[in-house]
Amino acid sequence: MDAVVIKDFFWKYPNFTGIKTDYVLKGINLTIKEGEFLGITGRSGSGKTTLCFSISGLVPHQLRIPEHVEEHISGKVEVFGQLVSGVKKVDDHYEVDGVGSMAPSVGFVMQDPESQFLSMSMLHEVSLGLQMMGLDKAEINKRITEALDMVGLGQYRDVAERIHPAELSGGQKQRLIIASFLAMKPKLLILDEPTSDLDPAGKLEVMKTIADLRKKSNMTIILVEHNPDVMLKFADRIAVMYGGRIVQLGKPLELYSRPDILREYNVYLPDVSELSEYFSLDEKPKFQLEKSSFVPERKTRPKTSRIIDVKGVSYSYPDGTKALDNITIEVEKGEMIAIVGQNGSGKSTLSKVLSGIAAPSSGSADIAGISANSKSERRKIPLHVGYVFQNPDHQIFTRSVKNELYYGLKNIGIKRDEAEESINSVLAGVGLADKADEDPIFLGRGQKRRLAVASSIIMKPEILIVDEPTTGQDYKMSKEIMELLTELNIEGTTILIITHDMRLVAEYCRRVVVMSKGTIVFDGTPEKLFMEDDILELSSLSEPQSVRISKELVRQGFLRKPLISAREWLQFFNFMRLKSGFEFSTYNEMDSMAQTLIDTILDKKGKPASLVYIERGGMVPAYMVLKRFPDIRAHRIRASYYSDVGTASKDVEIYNFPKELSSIEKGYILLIDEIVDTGKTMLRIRDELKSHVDAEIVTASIFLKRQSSYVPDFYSKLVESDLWVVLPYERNETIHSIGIKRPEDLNRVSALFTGDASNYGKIDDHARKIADRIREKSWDPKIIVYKLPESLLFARILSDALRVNNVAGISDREEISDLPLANLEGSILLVSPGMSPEIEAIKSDLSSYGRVQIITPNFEVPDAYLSG
Amino acid sequence: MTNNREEKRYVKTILFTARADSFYVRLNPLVKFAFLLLISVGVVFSMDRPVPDLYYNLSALAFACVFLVESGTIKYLVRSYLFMLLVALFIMMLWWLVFNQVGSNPIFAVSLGGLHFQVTTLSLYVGAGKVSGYAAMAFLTLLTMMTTRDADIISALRKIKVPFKAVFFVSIVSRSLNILSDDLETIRQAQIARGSRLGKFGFLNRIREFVMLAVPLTASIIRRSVEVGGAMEARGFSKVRNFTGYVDEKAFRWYDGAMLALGAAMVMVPLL
Repeated sequence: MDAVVIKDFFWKYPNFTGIKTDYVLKGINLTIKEGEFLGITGRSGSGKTTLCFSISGLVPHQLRIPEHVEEHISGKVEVFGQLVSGVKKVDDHYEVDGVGSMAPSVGFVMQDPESQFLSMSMLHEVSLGLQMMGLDKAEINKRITEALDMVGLGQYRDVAERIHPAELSGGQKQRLIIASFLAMKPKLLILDEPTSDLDPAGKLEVMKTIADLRKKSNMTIILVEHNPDVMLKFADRIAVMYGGRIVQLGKPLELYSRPDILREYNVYLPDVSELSEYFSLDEKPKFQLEKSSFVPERKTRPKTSRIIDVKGVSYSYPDGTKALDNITIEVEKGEMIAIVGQNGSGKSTLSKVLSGIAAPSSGSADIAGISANSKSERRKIPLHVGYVFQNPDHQIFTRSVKNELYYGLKNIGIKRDEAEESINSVLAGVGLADKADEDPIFLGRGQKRRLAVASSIIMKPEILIVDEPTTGQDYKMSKEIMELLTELNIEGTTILIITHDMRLVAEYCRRVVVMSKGTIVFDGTPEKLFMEDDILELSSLSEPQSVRISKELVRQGFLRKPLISAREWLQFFNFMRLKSGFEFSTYNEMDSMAQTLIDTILDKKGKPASLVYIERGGMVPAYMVLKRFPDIRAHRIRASYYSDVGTASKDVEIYNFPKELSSIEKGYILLIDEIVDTGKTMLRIRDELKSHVDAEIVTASIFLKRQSSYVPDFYSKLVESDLWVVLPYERNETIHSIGIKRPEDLNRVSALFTGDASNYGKIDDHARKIADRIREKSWDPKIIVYKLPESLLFARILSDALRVNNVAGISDREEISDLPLANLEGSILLVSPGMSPEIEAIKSDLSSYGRVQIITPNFEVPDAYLSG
Repeated sequence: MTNNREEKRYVKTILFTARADSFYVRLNPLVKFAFLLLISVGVVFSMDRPVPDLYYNLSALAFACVFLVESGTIKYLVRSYLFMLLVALFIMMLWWLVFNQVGSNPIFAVSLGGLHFQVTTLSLYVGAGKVSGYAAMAFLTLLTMMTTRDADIISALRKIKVPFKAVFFVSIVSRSLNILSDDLETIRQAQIARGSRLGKFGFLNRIREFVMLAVPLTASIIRRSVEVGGAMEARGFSKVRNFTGYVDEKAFRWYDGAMLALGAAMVMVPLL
């Protein structure tokens, strides 16, 4: 038998305002087999809940249709062969037909558990339906115990009679309501977003229970849900609703493999749908797996001042329950932080302390310079902290949207005419400008939420706390809210988001705080959190699909680090597309490798007495070493196995030798280069050094090619011989060479050099802009002389940007005599961190060799000044 | 928030919370209400005399105070009602003294516009007797409300075989008040978050802020009432034919009997 048969069903809610309204359900045709698990999804306002009401018989039987019934309802809904909702003609008029509510055969778990509690204790809540069924006491007791066990509340059976619903957390409430229906053993169970308030682990747990029950007793399930993971895992079919109609109906794998179509209907897609080119829906890769060095670029904020300083804060409710236990947390201005944790972990309580609504029982909390411990001071916190509650209905105090925005401003003493411009601007910013005069009560859910955000941001808070911004929202609304919050964050607002949505955490937040039982159990980056399986389990959290897939690939050795969002996966695939044949390192990657190399060297050999770098290749690694040891004297050696056009020579030519090295008796000399390719250059230089100095020579490089005949004492990364190592400060040279040798790869390689937002990347941009200005001035230098050690990196980049291979570093004017300045036909570009008598003297000495132009770039200021 | 028996020190009652293991919370609610009734009758008998039994009324008052402390509810009384109660009792006392000129040994006398007022030891004694009687009834009523769970009342009504629909109605009303109370608290917090306490938070501003609660509260009430109706229907309320009187029995214990006996005895005292 079919569980549900709906034929040509139309429904319009009666309204008594005289305003014409549209049908909420339009021509629904749907058949659900007995024992089937049907998922219903779609944007907010598409008719999902009304469809559930219709199947359960609440619509139209619970409503009063004053007249013209036939204009409100047509078609029919049958459940297990019985007419539940329909319309019949009686004499000259129409009446509603059907049996109405099919309880207990049909159970209906609605969205808000609060409104579904009809009793005063956990026990009586579960027993109520059973009592109404007229079951005997023994059976009632048995079913109560079973039902509570099924939803994970079995441990409260003995005290269930004493537990008031108000004492339960949001998630426990939802579980209890589900238990009260499961106890009735319905043949059809309708659930309207039943897990929206549950933590991720709780969601899956409850759904698994329902799915298991369905298998055991052949229960038919109808589930309204936005979460695609739940749908994929449990649903046999999914119905997508849009504008009151069912627009798509099919198996989850079929539907979610058509992301472009589903996006039109604002349906949440699984991560893999966004990556459908690379993964099948069951998470199997469609591409050839190979080991990759890809590391995602994750933006880091510069350090700013502290805006929230909480030390040892505890909070207890009047009934003695400890909600916060010794919490310590610091938040910097401009951060965007997610606060996550299981139901009842203290997230909302912490937020109320931070927003000044609740006073800490102990400890100290300083919020934007205001102490939350003092009652008189705490009153002022709302001036600095905005709080957007989960239910926007709780924050609407007036009868017009404009007045709603003015409400907060009035409280801080701003006159209406002064506020008008601000109100209009904020309304435009949240897309509610056309609703300015409407009664907020009649706004849609998403609009109300935007209004709630607007009402908070109009007070220009430095900190904005948002409680569950995406719960119960469709994809489009969630994205809009998050983009709005991201914009605010970019403009400088510190944002704290309480959420269960781990996808949101991965996409938008660079810091996540995990709470459990009133304490903070984790505070760090999302990527770190996703690697901590025990913390995820303790806090009933689950990693997003992107993370799950990439962790497996990390475990198998194909990836270096897990990728936490679809966006990072797309970056990875872009990287892979560009990579083949090239090993590209960003500045940060090089720096990371250099620091790790130094740590290893320090560990084994201690601090070097002196540093020798091979010019030009070793300039950047030397710069990175000298960042750690600015007091070490650095010396350059110019040597090359390759000519300036890249052809190999017979032997390595050494152009200079730092005489000062001979005086080193204690310690060791560190010889460093970026790549050891054939090994000949480094070996030759090492041998040369050995012949002149008594100190030990230790060799190191960032990259080592497998083909090299010499393996340095320390190296960071072994690369395959056939790979072209592409480095960010060799942009022009690389593109020039690729253009000659591998023109077909030119575009791909050029694309590798874009988008470095790191500090190094900024210096690179800056140096190249200076090079452009040098060219504008037609300076045309033939040699770049740079002051050691500060100008190393800058000079190296300038050398690439200006295509000047002749570079020479000096520590003082005595070293000028070692420079290759004889017969110089052209100008000398002197790069120095700043002007000083010493630089003037160097300039004067260099002037005897040619015209000297000085660059003194100020790295803190976007525009450098040039003199010459 | 955990609901583990070992960790639960307080239970939610009709008004506020009370210590779960306190004597008065453990009493059967029917016994508590019966005791309240008996003591109230006793106090009324006492006040009805020409000279009220001050010691009887003070004993009843003391009894209430002792159990307010024992149940952990005294702090709520002090925070919420004590000031109002004291003002009311003071006014009551003043009223009695002004409009009941009894006794012949004035402690204090004054004439105002031809009218003569005096306070005698007798009028003080009688006034104190009456005021303490009213105070005892007020405190005892608050004690009863603050130590009784609404679930216990529902159980008690079932136990005395009140019809299902009537009991259910009381349950829904009680539950709705809970929800509205939670909503009100959240709405109030939202008001604070929007700066309602900034600036001068005088009396008029307080009134204004209170009135502004009406909009979100009304919206909440309407929404909740529709949802509660739907929830009742979803549970099959309109289809009930046979309703099982399932009650998790709260048996009468020895101290319930003892309290009833004490109540009965205390009724007799003013009659003797």
